[in-house]
Amino acid sequence: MRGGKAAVEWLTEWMRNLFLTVCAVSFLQLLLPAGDMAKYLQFVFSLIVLGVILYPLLG
Amino acid sequence: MDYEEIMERELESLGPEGLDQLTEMGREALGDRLSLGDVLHGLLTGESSLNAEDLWQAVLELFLGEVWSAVELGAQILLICVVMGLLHSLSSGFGGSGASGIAIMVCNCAAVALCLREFVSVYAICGDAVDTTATVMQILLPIMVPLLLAMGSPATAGILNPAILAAVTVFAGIVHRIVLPLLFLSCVLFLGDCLSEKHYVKKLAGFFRTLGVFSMGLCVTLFTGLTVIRGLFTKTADGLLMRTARYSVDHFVPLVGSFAADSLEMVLRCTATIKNGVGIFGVVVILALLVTPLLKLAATALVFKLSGALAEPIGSGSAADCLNEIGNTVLLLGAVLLLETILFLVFLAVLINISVA
Repeated sequence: MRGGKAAVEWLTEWMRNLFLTVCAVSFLQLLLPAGDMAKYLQFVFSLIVLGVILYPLLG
Repeated sequence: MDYEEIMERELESLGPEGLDQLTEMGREALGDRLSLGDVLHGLLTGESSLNAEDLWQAVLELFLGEVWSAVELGAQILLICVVMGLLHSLSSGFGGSGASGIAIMVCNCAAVALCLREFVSVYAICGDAVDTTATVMQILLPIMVPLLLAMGSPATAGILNPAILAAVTVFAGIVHRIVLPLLFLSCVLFLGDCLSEKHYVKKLAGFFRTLGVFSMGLCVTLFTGLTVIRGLFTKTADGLLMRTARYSVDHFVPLVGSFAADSLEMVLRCTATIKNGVGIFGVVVILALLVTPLLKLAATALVFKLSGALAEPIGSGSAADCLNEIGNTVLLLGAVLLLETILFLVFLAVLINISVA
């Protein structure tokens, strides 16, 4: 099932991207200082994660 | 002629390959405790070849052994949760600075890595078990269907064979390639979610889990429907065929008619007994192959959920949540394995039950 194998690879790739993005965003959220910009940063991070989740559907 | 002689002759005429594979699988699964000959002998004499108490004892021992090795993992996870809880309380004392936050994050990652490693090994066991049960079915069916033919049920054999063999392969393939990976994805996402305070992917993980459960349910329904419907039509036709054959031989062959009819009936009944014996042996082999993975999955799920419950008061709430969800996912893996095996067993039981009155 060549189509099946390609689908599995694509899924693994997507999974890896998503997991790494969530890890990176969690780390960044800890490191960056609290302050006025905090909530805007939060919003930007949320958009980044959303983008990674929806990327295969868009492209 | 003796029943045993007839049965030996029929067994030989079955051909060596299928039976060899079956006996080898049986030896792998059961050791020397039970063999095909024992089951057939038991069927003839009417006594059971299995000892219920011994069986129960062995299963209990296995379960306790698995729980013991899983408790080690649970203790490690709990230790990490305790350290995390300590860091949490300390850090809120110091004003939530960056250093303690990073330390908490590192502990989180260590716990996640432990859980992931355990989950991957459990997942591999589950996948192997699914494949093995499917293989046993694929070995059994080419043996049992010719026996069905030989004992006078050509209509059933003709309709059941290709459809069910294909259905078994497709079903096992779907479970292995779609349902199990979906559950794996769901677990990885749950683990990723517990790294941060804000829930990024928790609902996505839940969505994948729901998808997996839904496709499993769909497959089970389709397979059951196929089995039941195909079996219904053909029983009457085969009964009529057998009775007509017997009547014709009895009344239309001069002199030796009734003797010939009686021997025909004896041979057919022996073949039916062999079919039943092979079927029962197959059921026992599948059950024996199933027991170890299922017990390991149950023990691991138990330990995960227990750690989650214990981590809730002493650690951070999100870690406990995450452990709980992983426990649920492992339970789901076990349920998938159990469902698949029950389906196969039901089908084997239907095949055993087909008898000509």
